[in-house]
Amino acid sequence: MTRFFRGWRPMLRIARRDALRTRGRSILVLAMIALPVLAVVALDTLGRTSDVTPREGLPRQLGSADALVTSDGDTFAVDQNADLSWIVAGSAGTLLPRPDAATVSTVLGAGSRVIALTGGELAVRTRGGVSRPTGVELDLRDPMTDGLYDIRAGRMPRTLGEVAISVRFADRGFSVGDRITLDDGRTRRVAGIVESTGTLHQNTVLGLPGSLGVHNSTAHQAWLVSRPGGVDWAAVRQLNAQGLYALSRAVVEHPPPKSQLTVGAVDGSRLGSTQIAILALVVAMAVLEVVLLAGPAFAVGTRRQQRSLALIMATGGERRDVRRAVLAGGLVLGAVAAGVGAVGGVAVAWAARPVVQGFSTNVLGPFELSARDIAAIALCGLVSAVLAAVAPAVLASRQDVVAVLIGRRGSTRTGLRSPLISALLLTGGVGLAVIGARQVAGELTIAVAAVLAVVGMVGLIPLVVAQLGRAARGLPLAVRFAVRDAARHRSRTAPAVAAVAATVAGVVAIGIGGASLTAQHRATYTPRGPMRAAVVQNPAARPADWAAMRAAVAARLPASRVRSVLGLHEFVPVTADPEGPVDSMDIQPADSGASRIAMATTNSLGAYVLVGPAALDTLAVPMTVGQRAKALRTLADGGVVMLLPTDPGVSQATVVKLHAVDRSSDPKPVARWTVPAMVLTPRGTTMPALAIVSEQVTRHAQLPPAVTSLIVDRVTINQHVEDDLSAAMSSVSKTSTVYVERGFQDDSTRIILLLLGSVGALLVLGGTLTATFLALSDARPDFATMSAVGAGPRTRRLVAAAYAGTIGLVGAVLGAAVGFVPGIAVTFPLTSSSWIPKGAAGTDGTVLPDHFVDVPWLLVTGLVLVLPLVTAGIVGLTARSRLPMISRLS
Amino acid sequence: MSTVLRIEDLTRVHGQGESEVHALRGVSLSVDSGELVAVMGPSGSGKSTLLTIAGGLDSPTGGTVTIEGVELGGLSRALLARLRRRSVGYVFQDFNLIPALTAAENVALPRELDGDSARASRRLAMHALDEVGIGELADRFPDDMSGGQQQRVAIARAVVGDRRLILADEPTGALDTDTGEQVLRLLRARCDAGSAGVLVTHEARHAAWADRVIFLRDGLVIDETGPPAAVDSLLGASTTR
Amino acid sequence: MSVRQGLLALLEQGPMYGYQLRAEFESRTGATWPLNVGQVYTTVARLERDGLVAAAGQDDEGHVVYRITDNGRAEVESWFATPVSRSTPPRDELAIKLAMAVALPGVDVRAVVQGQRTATIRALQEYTRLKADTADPTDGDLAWLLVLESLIFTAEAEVRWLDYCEARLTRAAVAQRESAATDAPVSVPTNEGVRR
Repeated sequence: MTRFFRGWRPMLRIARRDALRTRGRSILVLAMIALPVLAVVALDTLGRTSDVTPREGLPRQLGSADALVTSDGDTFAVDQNADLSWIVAGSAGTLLPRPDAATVSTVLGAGSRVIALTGGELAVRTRGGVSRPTGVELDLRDPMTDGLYDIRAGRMPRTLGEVAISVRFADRGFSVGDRITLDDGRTRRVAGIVESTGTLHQNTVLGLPGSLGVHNSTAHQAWLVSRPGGVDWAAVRQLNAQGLYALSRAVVEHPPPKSQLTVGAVDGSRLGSTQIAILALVVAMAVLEVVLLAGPAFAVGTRRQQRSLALIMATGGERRDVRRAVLAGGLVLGAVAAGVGAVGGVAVAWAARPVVQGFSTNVLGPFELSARDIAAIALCGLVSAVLAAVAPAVLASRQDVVAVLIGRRGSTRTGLRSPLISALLLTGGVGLAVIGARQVAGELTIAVAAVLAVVGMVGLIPLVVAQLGRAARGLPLAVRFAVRDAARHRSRTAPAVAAVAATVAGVVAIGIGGASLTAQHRATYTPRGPMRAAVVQNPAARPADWAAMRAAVAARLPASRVRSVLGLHEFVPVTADPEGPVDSMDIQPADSGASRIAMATTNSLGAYVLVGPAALDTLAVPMTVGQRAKALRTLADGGVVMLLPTDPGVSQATVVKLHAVDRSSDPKPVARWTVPAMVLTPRGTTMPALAIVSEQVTRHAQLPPAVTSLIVDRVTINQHVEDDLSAAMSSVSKTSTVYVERGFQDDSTRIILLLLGSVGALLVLGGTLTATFLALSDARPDFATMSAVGAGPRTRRLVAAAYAGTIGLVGAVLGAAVGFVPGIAVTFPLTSSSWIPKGAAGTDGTVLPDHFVDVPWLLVTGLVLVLPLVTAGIVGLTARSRLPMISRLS
Repeated sequence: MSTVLRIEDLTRVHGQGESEVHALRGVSLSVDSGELVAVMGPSGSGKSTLLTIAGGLDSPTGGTVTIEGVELGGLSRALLARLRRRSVGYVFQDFNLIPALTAAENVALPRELDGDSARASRRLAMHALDEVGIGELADRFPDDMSGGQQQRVAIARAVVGDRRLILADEPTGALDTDTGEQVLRLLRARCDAGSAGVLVTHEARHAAWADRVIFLRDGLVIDETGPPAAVDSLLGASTTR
Repeated sequence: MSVRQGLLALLEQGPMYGYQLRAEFESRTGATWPLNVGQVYTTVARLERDGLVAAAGQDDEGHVVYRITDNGRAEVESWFATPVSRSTPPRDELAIKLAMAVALPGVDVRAVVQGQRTATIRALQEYTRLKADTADPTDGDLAWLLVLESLIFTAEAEVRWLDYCEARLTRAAVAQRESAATDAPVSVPTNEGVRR
């Protein structure tokens, strides 16, 4: 071991001195490595800080209590895990009485204390009308509530006539001492302004139990409890048996063994092997990118050191020593960069907490550093630096000592072996991409293929650069000089070009995949209701609920039109028991043979089969006047209107009534008859329902139609109205959902492409600029010569621009070419559409292709052509134009 | 014979105050076309400074430089660069060829920089290379050439496009005696063909190729060889050669 | 003296008569050492006396032709094989002059050096001009070129020696001034070389 260190010590000393002497280049390398380390460390720390673990979350949920017991109004036994990240609502077994505080007390036994926490919607009169904050009734005088709220002004309410309000609610114009008026006409004095310790920006009014009157059917009921010795897992299970969930301090701090948990309740957050593989690929690509970006600086450094390295060999050093000398440079700079990056990352994370908090209403957890994560990230940085120094180290150790010492610059010949291996890797990558394209879930295969192809391409770049140098004859002077110089200094040029190429390859591949997926989604988008209308669904609603919901909509949106959709659910219970036998209906084209047409339906209006001619208007199916007339005629004749992706050209349909002993059993046909039929082909590939049938059909099948959803339209429904409507429906029936049809939305893709493009552009810019400025400083003597033979001030700028353009363009073109392969390949598994029937029509009415390929040309041309040219232009404009003097003449 | 280069009372001070150094203290010199003038002196005598100023790479503190009737004092950097492309050719000790360009491209550089078409400048470059006797090496890169060949390329570059003033700074410094002599023969031939040449050297045998030798000491001309003496006087008694 | 060996070496290439010998000698040595024909005949007579050459009859025009003997060949061979002795340096007027100049007060040694240098360079220019005229040396010219080159090298060496003398003198002058300055702190403007 000491021998080992003895070999390294002088080299490390040389490296340290050298790093200090060539400050500019050292700072460049430091930045290249420290910045990614900094960014990742900062993200990791912020992630861990904003992630509130169950244990960290205890104070904000429990205050000072031992447990929070919640009722979801379940009347069956429930199941949960330790931190409530997995719960199963009750649906079977003995029907229980609705649990109350007494239930909790009974379970927890003597010595326990229970205080109620009730939440529900409140209506408060404000200047602008009526505001609907959440009302929370809780005895805030009880020490168990300590830690739930921070007091920002005033104090907690002490009497029934006092309330505390949240900061957001106070922003509506209330302050301590004001009075607020509830919708029952009574007023309360604002005693204090508070903020929840868990969630910011809540619209809340707090009061003592009974002071707000939130006790109604929509109320959320919970209890804070204290119990000597805490609430153990056994007690939690007992509460579960009563239909209650419990978040217990004791259980979270000491979770029960897995054997005591229901199968499936075990924490599923561990990484799967696929995720590990993806993580490994991402880390590998990130390290490769850093290596490539820092590589040129090391290559230049090594060449400047060439003479001293040759002297090391001349004075008895071995090749190994020369390699060490260069690697030591990587080690020194890498270690400093990793350290700086790690410390900087933590500092940035610390400083960025308020900013991150601004994006989230969840209060961040305590500032949390993971030594293991930071060490791993810093190690990646160090490894990147050493790896970046490997190629220059090997080249330096192979140099011809004599040639260097007598000052002849031998041209390094590219060996044959490495291009051969690289070509094999590239070919292998392309081949693997083709294989992955044929697999059903070939995304991971293609990702591996992409990495192989990129690594292969990186290995081939020196060869490409050399060939370009040979082909440069006939180009304008500045470009010719730039290309030839780039070819001569391949060890500097190749990594930069490779960095650009690898980036562009990644961006192009991901861009094509993402854009294609979006294209498919757009083409196969199925509207779930009429455009701009809101669809209210409620699978559990009874007829009375529907009436209440209609009334609520009318109250909220008086100008709107509300239509009920009549239909059949997929399974119609035969008895009152929801677990009991069910009937269902299937409709097939009569002459289509025995085979059932496989088809996806969304039951978008809550119904599997719609009933009556009114459904023609509520479904978002475009049809001609003729089709509409024919459909009405067919329904009047007691027939059906089938919704199919393609028209099989039939005029009759077979209606099948099926029966099953329960929902999960195989249904058996019990009746079958033929009715007149016509076919409509809605947009998209997923049908909004199976068919529209006439009432005669349901009567014949003895399946009574029911209201399955409401359609609200003729008013503008923006996000605000949607939220309002949603809240209104929920207050009537908790199981209701509101969906507003706004057509295909692809904002996320656009943002992802923009983000991808920006990161890509940044990396391309980084690679291009470092290589260009290293090249310019390297070419100093050549510029001096040019000056002596009469080059004007423009020449240096032209060469600088040509340099940037060359590196950017060559890298981008190669990268795009390589990126296209996995990009196109991944569209096959991503948008594989074997389930789309042949000849189905897309949203625009044309026949849908087998799979979708959409190349984001704006992104690709922007990255491949525009960015390098713009970079070249900027470099050309900003480069120093003054030419250096020839050194010999001084 | 016309005067190509005229230097009058040239002074050049480097630095200021304490570190003030007088590189030239009033040097006058004129070189006619067809004439090769050698400047000799120990290192630090100011001979290289003289050459940088004569080619417009550096500007004097005082005095004037006139090339083919044009005074350099009032010229912009761009005009000075144009002057170097069209009128002045430099030859350096370490050749200073651009390794990324072939021999022909190196020679064509001043013409290309001046805006000539690639084809036209290559034709001129080939002509210049033929003149220095290495036309067949036109497409080689400098790294693949011997020192003497590289210096021939450099001379070709200095004369391409019919430039009338060649400024050579120790052009034989990196060459052996015989190769150096060939380079000087080339320079001599160019001057005999009508160019004016200034050769800075510290080697007497190379300076001897010049028509006149000027001795520079501490920024001053201290002596110069006059017009050529009769051969006979040196060789003693009557000769028949 | 090398004229003796030189003539003998010429005769080794073939029999020749007096005038022929003189012409050949001069063409080879570039008239560096001009010979009169009398000197040639005296030398040849001595060579004949020593048994190194022998008269080989007369040609058509009545010139006495000499040829080399075996002893003469041996003599030529040993001449070429023996290096020229450097043990006794030739008396050099320039060296003596400078030695005197340094010793005598009131003589500007540097002026002497520069004067000599200019003269030597001027000679060097002449030699070079002669050399330049024989751009494409034939056999005979090559011999002449080499002799010329010997002169050039000698002159060059002299210039270099002069350069060295001057540098030494400058250094000595500076040292003297500095020791004088320590005695009496009067600043004397130095004429030191300008360094950059």
